[in-house]
Amino acid sequence: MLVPALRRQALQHAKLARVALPSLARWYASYPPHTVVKMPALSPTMTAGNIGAWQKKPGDSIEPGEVLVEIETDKAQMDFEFQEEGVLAKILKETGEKDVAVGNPIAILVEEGTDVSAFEGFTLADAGGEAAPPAPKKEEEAKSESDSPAPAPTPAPEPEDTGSSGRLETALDREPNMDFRAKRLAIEKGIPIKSLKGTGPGGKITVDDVNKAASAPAAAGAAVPAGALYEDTPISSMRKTIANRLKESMAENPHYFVSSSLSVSKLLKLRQALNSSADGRYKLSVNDFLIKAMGVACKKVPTVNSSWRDGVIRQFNTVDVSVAVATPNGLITPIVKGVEGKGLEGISSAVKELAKKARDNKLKPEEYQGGSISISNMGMNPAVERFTAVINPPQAAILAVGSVKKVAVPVENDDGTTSVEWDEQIVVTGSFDHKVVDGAVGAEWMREFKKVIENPLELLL
Amino acid sequence: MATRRPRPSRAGISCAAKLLIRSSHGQHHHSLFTTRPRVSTHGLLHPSHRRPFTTNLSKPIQIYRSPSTDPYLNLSIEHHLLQHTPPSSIILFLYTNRPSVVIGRNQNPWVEVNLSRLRQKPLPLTTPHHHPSSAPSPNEQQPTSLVRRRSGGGTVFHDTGNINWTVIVPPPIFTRTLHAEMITRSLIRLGIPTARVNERHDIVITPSSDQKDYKVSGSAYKLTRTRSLHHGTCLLSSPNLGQISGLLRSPAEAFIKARGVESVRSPIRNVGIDTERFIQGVVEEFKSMYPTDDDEEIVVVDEEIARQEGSIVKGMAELMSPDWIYGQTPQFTFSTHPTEDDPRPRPPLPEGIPREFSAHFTIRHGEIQTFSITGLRYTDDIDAASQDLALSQALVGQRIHHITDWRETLQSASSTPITDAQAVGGWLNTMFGLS
Repeated sequence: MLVPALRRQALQHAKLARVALPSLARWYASYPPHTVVKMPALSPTMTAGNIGAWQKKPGDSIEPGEVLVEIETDKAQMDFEFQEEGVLAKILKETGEKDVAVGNPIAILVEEGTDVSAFEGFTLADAGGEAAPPAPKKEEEAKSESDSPAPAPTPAPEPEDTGSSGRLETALDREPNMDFRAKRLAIEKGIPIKSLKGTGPGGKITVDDVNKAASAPAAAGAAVPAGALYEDTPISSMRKTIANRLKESMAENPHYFVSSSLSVSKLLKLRQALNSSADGRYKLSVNDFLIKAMGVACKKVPTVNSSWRDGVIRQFNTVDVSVAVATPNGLITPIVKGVEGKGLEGISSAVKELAKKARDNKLKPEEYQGGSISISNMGMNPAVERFTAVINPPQAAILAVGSVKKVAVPVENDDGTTSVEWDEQIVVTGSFDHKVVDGAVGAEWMREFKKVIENPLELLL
Repeated sequence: MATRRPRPSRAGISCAAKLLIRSSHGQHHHSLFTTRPRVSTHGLLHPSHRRPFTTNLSKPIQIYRSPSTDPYLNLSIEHHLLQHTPPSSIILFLYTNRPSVVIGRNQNPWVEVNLSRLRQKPLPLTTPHHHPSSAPSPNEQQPTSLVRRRSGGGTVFHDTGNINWTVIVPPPIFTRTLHAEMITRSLIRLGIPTARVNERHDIVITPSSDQKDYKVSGSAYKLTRTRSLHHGTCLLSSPNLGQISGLLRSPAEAFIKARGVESVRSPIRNVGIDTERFIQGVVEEFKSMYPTDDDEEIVVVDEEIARQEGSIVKGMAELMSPDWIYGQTPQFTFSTHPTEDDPRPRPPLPEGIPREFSAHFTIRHGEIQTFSITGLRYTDDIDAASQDLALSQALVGQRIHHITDWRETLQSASSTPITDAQAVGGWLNTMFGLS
């Protein structure tokens, strides 16, 4: 962003450009405030579409919920219902245009009362141009498809789809006076730019200003008066992403739950034995055993290690377990890859390393995007006996682990009498996506899992 | 055309199934239902079941069939069901149409269909073994209908040997293959073990007599915010398979560059199952996918009442209007010679057309936007070039589907008689299906 001194220079340039280079004059011409309407993704897997019949023509006003244009993709005819009010100013893609990529400009919308004829010469380039459509029907990787939570959110795109003209003149008028690093930080932290006060030269907002605003509890929104009844926290992009993914999961995945009480006495003894001879090389936790057991169960019942895609169910050959980690910023699920091929020590060190990176916000995208099954362990909280977890799309299952409880179980003595002894048990609850995993299959997976946990030496097999 | 693909050997086909595949007219009469005589074909047409279907519209699971073979009516009933059933309801609708060519929402009829052939003599409506109750009266014999449907996708041919099925569900449970698989399961249970859904969401079979895949069913979709409609065809016993490729190949295709969706051609086959058995099989499969406490009957839509229902009347009027059928075509260009936009080599023009003749015009919303003809010869001694220009200008703004004879249209656009009006106009008539 430009400091006032530079602003003056740019204005002069703009004036000169108008006079000296008429061909560039249009580039510097300013259009009235407008919104660029972009090709919507009308289904989760849509990457491009064909423009059908426009239901509005330039000059027509449009109400929320009205159909703006029909779109066809892969034999499906769909209505693009617009959710805002406005007047259609210019159609950038005519009926019949094929393979318009999602996100590319298709029309221009203005507010009521704006002169629509000003947009007659408006071109795609004025809207910012377009990207080439992606090749349709290519094998899509899990990475490109999933909209994973970002612990260190990538620089967010412009908050609204404004066709902010980017012409020097109008851009200068509307951009806030901020250092670009400060702007990025403000967006990351979810602080409304309007609320920031600049302390830099010429009232410029600096990184320090943003950090100060972020740490002050009253930074969010307007100053809260003493004795306020509530506190508003702006929703960070991480929280938004978590919210959207979980909402999507509950809506798209028919969840059903299979619970099992696992006797972990043997497992705990084995763990103790292994840890005592560790010599500091490792310290195994119950979670490590659970992750390893999930790998075994998934190899025995591979249907659970699958993902629902468009037209196919993808069954993975490796078991990549997403481990839920709570960080101050929210929930993140780094992945332990290839669990079936790792030993307990390998799993343990991987989990520890990933958890540290997650808390430090240093996870790389490939470390948290993907995974074929998840585990969420609340066993460290003794109040939690059992719980159910939400499946991470596009996976098909997640295991929710409760805390260890001492339970009295009947036991048969050698002489035929029955007595009682104490067993240590955990209740685990698997959530399964019924689209991919049928009831009996989920139960079968649980059986294999229970077998391995209750007889941990079977991990050697 | 479909490419040859290696298939695993199908050693397990039972004799009964082989018989079904080979014979084109299913003679098997064993009923798939042992209880519920009400759903037998005789009972369905009993007057007590012809109740107004409008009262059924609020149920969670609804099954309908139409007694009519009018494609405009059937598509309008389907659209009415899409718009007037509760968002959480699940609908199955089955119907057959008299001979029709049905193009997709955004297609170009001059590219997809041989319109001249369409207008010729009517095609046979039924096969001799077809159920007599759905045979239309002789006065329904009429030229093949041209229909533009509201869903996307390509061009298909319908006749009463082809059945149309529609499933309407709420978006959360919708996938493109869900109900194609339902139909496939029905086909397998009815004795077609090689039936499967391919990557284009078509249903194909691989008859044991050869290793190729043949398409028996195509699909198209209409997705709104609250409802997902999937409809498809199934070739059961059409007598017109041999006619279809001729009907769906247009002589103008070589000259027209169209926007919008192009059809993908596949070799086709009849499945060879009797219509009523197919309907019973599909209904059974549908009911097992969506079981309810009370057993849903198949409601036969009362045609008289449907034809008076406001939204259906409106829908039919739209579907039958030339402005919809022709005027909804996305922009296209017709040119006798290769252009920058369309550099394909063109077939030679017929004898009788002057060698210098060339035509290039653009049509949008059915209206001529630009028109350019050159090389015509005139009977009077005038500047042909400027006459060509004047004639071209005169044609701009005309609706292409209002032109019934290019010979007359060309002639009346020119102040001087055109020598080649018959030849040029006649050829344009062939291109636009008017001869």
